[in-house]
This record gives sequence, structure tokens and C-alpha cells, in this order.
Amino acid sequence: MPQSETTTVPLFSVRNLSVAFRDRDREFTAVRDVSFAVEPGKTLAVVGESGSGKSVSLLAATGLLPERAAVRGSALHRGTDLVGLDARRLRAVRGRHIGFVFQDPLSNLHPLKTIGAQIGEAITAHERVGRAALRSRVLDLLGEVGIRDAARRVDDHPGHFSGGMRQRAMIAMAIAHNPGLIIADEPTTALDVTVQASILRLLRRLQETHGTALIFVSHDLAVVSDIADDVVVMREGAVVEAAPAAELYAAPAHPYTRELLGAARHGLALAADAGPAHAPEPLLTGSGLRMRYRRRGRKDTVTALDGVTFTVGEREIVGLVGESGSGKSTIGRIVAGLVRPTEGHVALREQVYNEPGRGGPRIDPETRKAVQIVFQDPYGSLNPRRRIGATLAEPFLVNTRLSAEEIRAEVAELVRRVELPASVLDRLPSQLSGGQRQRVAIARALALRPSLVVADEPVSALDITTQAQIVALLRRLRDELGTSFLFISHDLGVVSDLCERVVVLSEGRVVEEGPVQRVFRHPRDPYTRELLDSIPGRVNHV
Amino acid sequence: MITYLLRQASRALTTLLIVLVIAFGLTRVAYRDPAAVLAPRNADQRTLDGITRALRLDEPWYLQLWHYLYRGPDIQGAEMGLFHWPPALGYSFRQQRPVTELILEKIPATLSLALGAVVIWMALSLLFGVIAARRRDTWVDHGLSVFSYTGLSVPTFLTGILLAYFLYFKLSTYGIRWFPGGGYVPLAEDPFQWARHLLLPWLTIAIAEIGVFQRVVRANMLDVLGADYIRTARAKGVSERRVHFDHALGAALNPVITLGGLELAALMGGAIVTEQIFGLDGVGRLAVEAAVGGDFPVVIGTTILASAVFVVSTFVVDVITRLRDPSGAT
Amino acid sequence: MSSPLTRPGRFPVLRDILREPSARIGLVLVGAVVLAALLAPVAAALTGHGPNQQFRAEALTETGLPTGPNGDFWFGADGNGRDVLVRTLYGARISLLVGIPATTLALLIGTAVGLVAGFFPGRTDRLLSLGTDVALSFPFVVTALSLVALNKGGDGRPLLNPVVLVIIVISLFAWTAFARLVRNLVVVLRERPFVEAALSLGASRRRVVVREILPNVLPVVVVYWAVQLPVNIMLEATLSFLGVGVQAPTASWGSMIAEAQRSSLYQVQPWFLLGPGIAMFVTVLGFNTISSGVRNVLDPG
Repeated sequence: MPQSETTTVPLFSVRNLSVAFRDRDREFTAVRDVSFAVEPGKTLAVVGESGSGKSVSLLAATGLLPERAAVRGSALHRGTDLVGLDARRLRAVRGRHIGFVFQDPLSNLHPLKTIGAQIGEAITAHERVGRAALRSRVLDLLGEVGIRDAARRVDDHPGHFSGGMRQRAMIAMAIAHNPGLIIADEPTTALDVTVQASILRLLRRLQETHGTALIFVSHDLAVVSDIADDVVVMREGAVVEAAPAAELYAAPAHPYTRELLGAARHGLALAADAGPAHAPEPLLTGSGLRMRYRRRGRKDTVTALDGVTFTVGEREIVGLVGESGSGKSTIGRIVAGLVRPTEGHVALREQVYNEPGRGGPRIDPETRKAVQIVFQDPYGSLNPRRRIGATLAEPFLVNTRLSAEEIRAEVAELVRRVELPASVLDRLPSQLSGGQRQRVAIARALALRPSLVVADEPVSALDITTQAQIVALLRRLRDELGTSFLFISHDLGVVSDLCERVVVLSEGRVVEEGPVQRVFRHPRDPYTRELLDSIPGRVNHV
Repeated sequence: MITYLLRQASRALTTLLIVLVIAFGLTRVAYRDPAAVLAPRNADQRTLDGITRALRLDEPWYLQLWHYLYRGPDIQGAEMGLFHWPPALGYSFRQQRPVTELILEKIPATLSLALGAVVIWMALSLLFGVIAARRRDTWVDHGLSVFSYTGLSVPTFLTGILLAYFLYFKLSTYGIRWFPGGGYVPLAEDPFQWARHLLLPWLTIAIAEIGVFQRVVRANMLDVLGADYIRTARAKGVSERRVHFDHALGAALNPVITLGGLELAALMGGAIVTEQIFGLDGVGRLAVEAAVGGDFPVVIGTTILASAVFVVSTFVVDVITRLRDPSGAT
Repeated sequence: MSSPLTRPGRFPVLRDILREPSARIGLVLVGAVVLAALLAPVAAALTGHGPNQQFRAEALTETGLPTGPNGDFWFGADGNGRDVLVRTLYGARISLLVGIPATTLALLIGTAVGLVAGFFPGRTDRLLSLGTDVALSFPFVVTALSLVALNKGGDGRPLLNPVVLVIIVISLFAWTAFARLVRNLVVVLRERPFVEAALSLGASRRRVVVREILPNVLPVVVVYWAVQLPVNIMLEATLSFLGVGVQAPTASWGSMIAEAQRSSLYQVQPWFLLGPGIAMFVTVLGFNTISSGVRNVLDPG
């Protein structure tokens, strides 16, 4: 990777930027004394976990924060300080000289305006253009960002676009005036891994053809490893390390950078000892599972699952991977007994407990206890109004006749198992961190000593360092308690780290199944290969 | 979309049918002896029996309902059921005229009152709401919120009396006769006098409604202004005026339209108080007089009219919000 | 709607509410009204004027017009020579006595209907929503008039206490607002993972509704109670204004204002109108500011 040693004048440089938010009578500092710069045509990556102030500092530098925020320092763009610039002149810079791409393309596009109108507005905000000329320019832009059949799709609303297409439309807006700089705030985080790869390719191509500089904000060092020239690592509102990318990946100076890098990397390396392919006794079998929904107000049905068969062995951790829409969560919900399948059945130790029928699933209490579920969203999976102690006592109150004293002892034991302090019992979920909440959810699932726990994306809402801790906890619980896990994830890295066997799903079908080592090293199915090739950072740094 | 429309329409019709049956049943129980109400004071039993038979009051209720729907009481021998064409809502005992005719006669006043008030309150609410959101936490915002609270906290009958007292009575004692105290002049007769006579009633209704709506608009605006796509618009360099009046207001409008439909429907059913105070001869007064006087065909008729307006306006509102958002994203 | 659901603890919220200026103003206003209602008999005893007592000799002029405010009658007298101040204070009792039970009854009915409709999608939901539509589409005043007409026994005497009837009539309409609110909340909550987690633990649906969903709905519903209360107080006044609410001679603000308007006597004795008018305004404003203060705290934005 070329290193910038010539003293080029930076295109955009942030100097000693600080941001404070006032909330009622409190004030808290989100960004402290941050400086960085990007040169024309180069890529700067700003990396940090949630709450590190990485997005806030860029929004502050371009005047996009709400007025409640107090911004100090400077943000020089071609010699003009954008901090404190009046609204009219700031507007002349934004969209024309600096383009923006944000994280979640659905919430960032106006739901009631067509894609074409929104892109057109990016043009007309700075230029008077006739209607016909505007339309042809919009179509050109859509073509440039790789939207096929642009003329037909231009009048669609964002709701009719897929996630990747929406993000392409966002990029089309950003490049409408061929700006010298694009600020991309986590542009691929909400996307599937193969889509993420294609968006990254698109950004790189645009950068090459137009010589655009790019500031790429991300939580993931692996994602930016392929594109960054320089990297700034942020933590708790401050810069902890700034270095050219090659240096930083080769020899991270700060311990926090090393920790981030380790977390980004650990999933990418497969354990060396493949171990003998022992075949454990089958615990759970899903046979010929099909699931069809009828969408509201429509006649046609959507097939979420199309004949899926798989097993989970005793004391085994099986990974279920696939992109959004592959049907992996539907399998989890069928196994957990939350919905009935349209066809097929699931059996626990050869005892069928969930099969097609009318109404909600009726499952005998013993199987109910034996199969439990942990959800992705650590905010939604705990009742916000009940204290942790009450939440953890619930399984015992519902299923056992233990005395209050015995329940208290059981709950204390659970909390200890998931490595939480006993003090959490008196807290409400909102007083816990995401990782702590997920530990509580795991404890609740383990309360009734289940044989199988369905873990539906249990770590994907967590910061990368917390993810590693939860994965370690799950592995240890399996070893200590002998619980089997059906681990549903879109993240091949985590799966390769935790699971013994993996089932790869695509569009409701199993495309490949086998031991993790074999599947990931020698994928047989083209889709699995594409998934593996899309893992960011795989080429350069693993 | 078509199945959706059909489903909504059938739901609307079911609602109406239930309302009809309840209203019919209620009035049959409420006015136990309509014949006595209708008959001359010193009527003998034979006259009463004659009236009872003529109105078919001696038959079971379901047959009465049947007659109501298909034939109506044969007072003048004419067939007049709700399911006939033109549909008829029965025959007023007191006024000896078809209810449909009575209602049609009173509708222009009520319609003028309701629609004019809606135009005023919607226009002002949107304007005030957007301004309050733009100038959030400044004295403009605070001033508008005091106005909104005042409007919200004074019942319409009091607003009406106060407006009539100050703008009609007090002004006229100084010889200024800008605002008439009441009455209704048909639009076709003299548009200027029509508006002049309705101005105070419009304001009476609008002040209360602005109190509610301005706050709804402001709250929705603030909600929407915090949305990611507003930041996107700013990032594109779109002007603040466009951000507020196009991007934000457009998205903030749906709940306002929904609430507006409900309120408008409630108004059609009876801007009764306002009609009373300003002496407007509208549907509301007709209904009140009928209810007090025991003229139950008129009560049923106005009730059905009011719920039909409600059902239709919620249907229209549903369709509008649906059309505004084809993706179903909001 | 999400933030009241995620708000922790109760006591910090209460403290925040008490720190909110608009809630404080509202509490003072409402406190004054409650005090007035409680102290009405004291005022009657001190002045020696019963609420329905007529002082034609003292309070009416020779031509029969009511006198304005003076040392004896602070707010002056009405057309029958009754003390407007004392009647206004007694009116506060009727307002609260009708408004609070009616709103509470509406809350109970609406919450129950909303919980069931929200938690059981499909036929149950459709049926209950239809019921809500039907109730909403009845014109309030006309139906209230019919119901009052219904309240006559064979001898022409009311079957039910008119106050109770007004409470029932108001709650018969007001429950729909609660039902819609609760239903929409429950529809969102039902999909939340913690509800599914409780179901997969084997909890019964009744237990899930009571233990998981209700605690999340209740704070919002209680705030909404405070929003609906002033609306219902105004409904009572409107009914009394139209002569179908609380029956004469019992003092109600609505009927006092109606008398003032009908007789046009407020043009010579403005306090005939202003007494009950201001009392009404203060009460409704007080509850409105409280509820807006509470909302500011629960849903800052």
C-alpha cells in the first residue's frame, strides 16, 4: 500500500475538535480534542466501537449535528473553516463539495419520495436544471452506481428497493456533483456480507475513476483494511492511535488497537486442530421443514423455508448461517416452538414436538423446558419494567413449585454462571450494558436446564470486544453443562470460531452442511464460496 | 389495493348497519309511547290506537325495523324505506315531513360551518405548528403554546358566548356592526353575507381545534426533524425552508390527516353547541330538538347521517394515507 | 411511544415530573380546584348562602336584575338571586365528581378491550375494533340526549341518578380512545422478544398479558388518563349547557353558563358568566398542563 510521505495539502482537516451535548441541566462531552486529515484522492478510516464519538465528530465537523450540541475546534475544507460557518455557506459546501453516505439506507431515505426525486434534489439543490436534463442525469447516476434497469426503477419508492440498492441510491446522491470528498458513515454495517463486498467495490471504483477522497467510518477494522490509506482509532471520544494503514495493521502501537484487531481477526482464522469427526448422538432433528406465509393483502405466498432437514447432536454447537431472508431465523422460531411449520416437523430425541396444525404450537411442558431461545436484540428481550431478579425468577415461578427461598438460590446460581455480579438482580434492563443484558437473556434460557438453546444472532448487536466475551461464555457453558446450541448467525467469523458443524442456508434451502473446518476450507457450493470470499479483510490481513 | 378497498368498505358498511340497529333499538326503548306524544292532548283511546297501527308500533321490533328499511310507516301511503331509491329515513312525527327532506334542508348550514372551520383550523394549525417547531424553545414557540393551551382549555360554548359578546354585542354598542350575531345566509344567495355570518361560528370551532392540532403538528414535526432522512436532505445541501415545509411537513402530515378526518366527522354529527349559540338552523339543532321532543325518526335519521359521515371520512382518510405511502413504510 | 416503554424506575420519574415547570403550575391549579370543591360547604357556611338558596331581596335590584360583585356577594348574584361564588365552588364538585369516575371507568373498559384486541390478532381483534368504530361513529350529544330520555320511569321520575347517568354516558364514548391507544401499544409489545421469551418458558397467555404486557402499558395509560380527564370535564359541561347533564337546581358550570347566556343577564352582571367560566378554564388548563409536563418527562423531544 502506498504511503503518503510527500507533503500534500490536506483536502479536509479536523483540528482539536470537541463536541458537548446539553441535556436538560447536564452536559456531557462526546468528543475531546480530536484531529485528523485526509488528502485528495486518499482514504481515511475512522474506527471505533459504539459511543467512541467517531460519527459525532464527522457530523459536527460538517454542521449536521442538532443545535443543542456545542462544537469547538476547527474543520478546514479547502481553507474554509466549516465550524461556525453560517447555514447558507455551509449548505453550498454540503452536497456539492462533500458527499455523504449514511449507515442505514432505509431510515436515511425519505419514505414518501421516489428514489428519482431524491437523487434529483441532490442535483437541484446546487444547480438549476431543466426537467428533461435532470431526469437523464438521474438515470446516468443510477447507472453509474450499478442499478440495473434504472429507467424503470427511478420512480419507485425506497420501500421497493433492497438494502443494497438503497445504499447505491444513497451513493448516487453523494456523487451527484462529483465532490472532492465523500464521508461514508458505516455505509455497509446494515447490509449482508455479499452486498457489503459489492458496495465496497463500488466505492473503490468511484474513487479510482473520479479521484475522490473518502472518509470511511466503521466499527470494524477488518472492513476498512482493504481500502484505507490511513487509520484513526477512536475510543470514548478521543483518538487513541493514528497511523498509515500498513503500519497500524502490521504493528499496532496502542493496546486498545491491538484488542480491536484481535477481535476483528480471531474469527477469520480457523482452529488448526480439526479434531476427529466424531458423530454425536442426534438430539434434535428438523425434517423437511417448509414455511409459507401469506402476505397481508396479497394472494401469493412467500416461501421462507423450502424443505430444510438438519440435526443437532448432544453437546454440539451447530452454526446456522445465511444472509437476511435465507430463513435462518424462521428455523430458530420453529425449533423454539414459537411458530408451527407449514410442512415437516422437529423432534427432540426422536419425539416430534412441533408439526403443522391450526393455532399456536401446543408443546408438552417437558419439551418446552428442554428447548429455550436467546434473541438478537438485547434491548427487546428483557421486559424493561421488571427487575433482573424478577425476570430470572419467572421460569421457576411458571414451571416449578420451589419456595421463594429456593428460587432466590437458583437465581443467584444462574447469575454466577453467566459471570454477572449479584448486584444486577436489583437493576432494570436499562441500567445494564448490551453485553450484560445478553448474559441475563442467556441465564434465563438456561434456568430450566434445557438440552438445547437456540441462539438467534445473539452477538450481532454487540460491540466487537463484547462479542468475543459472549462467544467464550457460550463455549464454556456447553463444556460445563453439556447444553447443545443451535447458533444462528450471519457472521461466518464467529461461527468458525464457536461451532463444530455448520449448516449454510440460502433462500430457504440448505446449500451445504458439514464440519466447520471442511466447509470453510473447502466449500463445495458456489454460494458458500461467495460468502467466504465476501468476508472483509480476508485478502489482506489474514 | 382493490382487496384493501373492498375490505375497508365492507367494514364501513357493517359499522353503519350496527349503528342503525342500535339507534333503532335505543329509540324504540327510549320513547315508549310515541303515539301519546303525537296525538292531540285530549285524544281518546281510538285515536291513539289508530296512530299506533298507522306507525305499526303494535308489531314486534324486527318487523318495525323491516318496515323502516323497506317501506317506512304509511302515513301518506308512500313507500319510503332506507333501501328504496331515493333512500328515505322515515317520516317525522312532529313536523309531518320526510326526514330526508328535513335533513337535506339543514345540511347546507352545517356543511358550511364544518368545512369553513376545517379550512381555517387546518391552515392555521399547520402554519403555527411548523413555526413553533422551527423556532423551538424561543419566545415564539412559548407564545404559540400559550395560545394553544388557552384554546384547548376553553369549552366551545364559552368561546362562542365570549366571541358573540365582544365582537357582536360590545362592538354594536359602539355602532360597529361588522359581525352579525347569528343566522345563516345561503352561499348561493350572497357569498359575502354567507361568510360574514359564519365568521364567528368558524372562529369558535377553529380556536378549540387549533389548540389540539397545532400541538400535534409541532410534535410530529419535531419527531420527523430528528429522523435520519432529514439529515440526509441537509447533507445534500437542501435549504432549511425546503427541509421544513417539504421533507418534514410532508412526512408529518399523516397523523394530522387521520385526526382531522375524525374531528371533521364529529363536527358534521353536531356542531350542535355552535349552531345553538349563533342561531344557525343546522342538522345539530334539528337533532337536539328531535331528541328532546321525542321525534324518533329524526333522531335515527340524524344519527345515521352522522355515523355515515364518520365512516366515510375515516375511509377516505385511510385511502389518502395509503396513497401517500405506497410502500407501507411508515 | 418507545421511550415511555424503556424508561427505568418510578421514583426518578416522579422527581423529574415535579421539576418540570408546567407540571408544577398544573398541580397548583388543580390543587386549588380540589380545595375549592372541598371547601365549598365552608364558603357556604361563612357567607350564609346555600348553593341553591335564593336571596331575591338582597341580591336583586327593584327591576329584578342581579347585582354585581359586592362585599356580601363576591361574584354577585344570578338571575334568581343566588350567590355565584358559592355556586361556582359547588360546581367544582360536580366537575370532579363526574370527570374523575367517568375517565377512570373509560380507562378500565378501554384498557381491557385494548389488551384483548391487541393480544389476540385476527377475529377477536377485528370484532373489538368494529365495536370501537361503532361507538366512535355515534354522534355524542344526540345519543346522550336519547339516553337521558331513556332515563324516565313510568312516573316521569328518573330511574337513575342523573349524575350517575352522565358518568355512564361519557365513559360509554370515552373508552374508545383508551382502547385504541392500548391496542396499538400491545400490537407492538406482542412482537417484542421478551414476550416470546416468556411464552417459550411456558407462561400462559393470561400470565404474559398480566405480567409482561400490562406493566409496560400502564404508565402510558395513566398519562393518557390525565389527558382525557379535562376533555371529559368539558363534555360534562357541554351536556349541562345543553340542559341534559346534571339537573337543576344542582350547580354545574355548564348549566350556570347556559343560564347566563339564555337570560342574557351576563351583559349586566358579567360575573354570572365569568365565575363558572374562569373556574372551568382554570380546571381544564390545570389538568392539561399537568399532562403535558408528564409527557415532557416521559417522552422528551
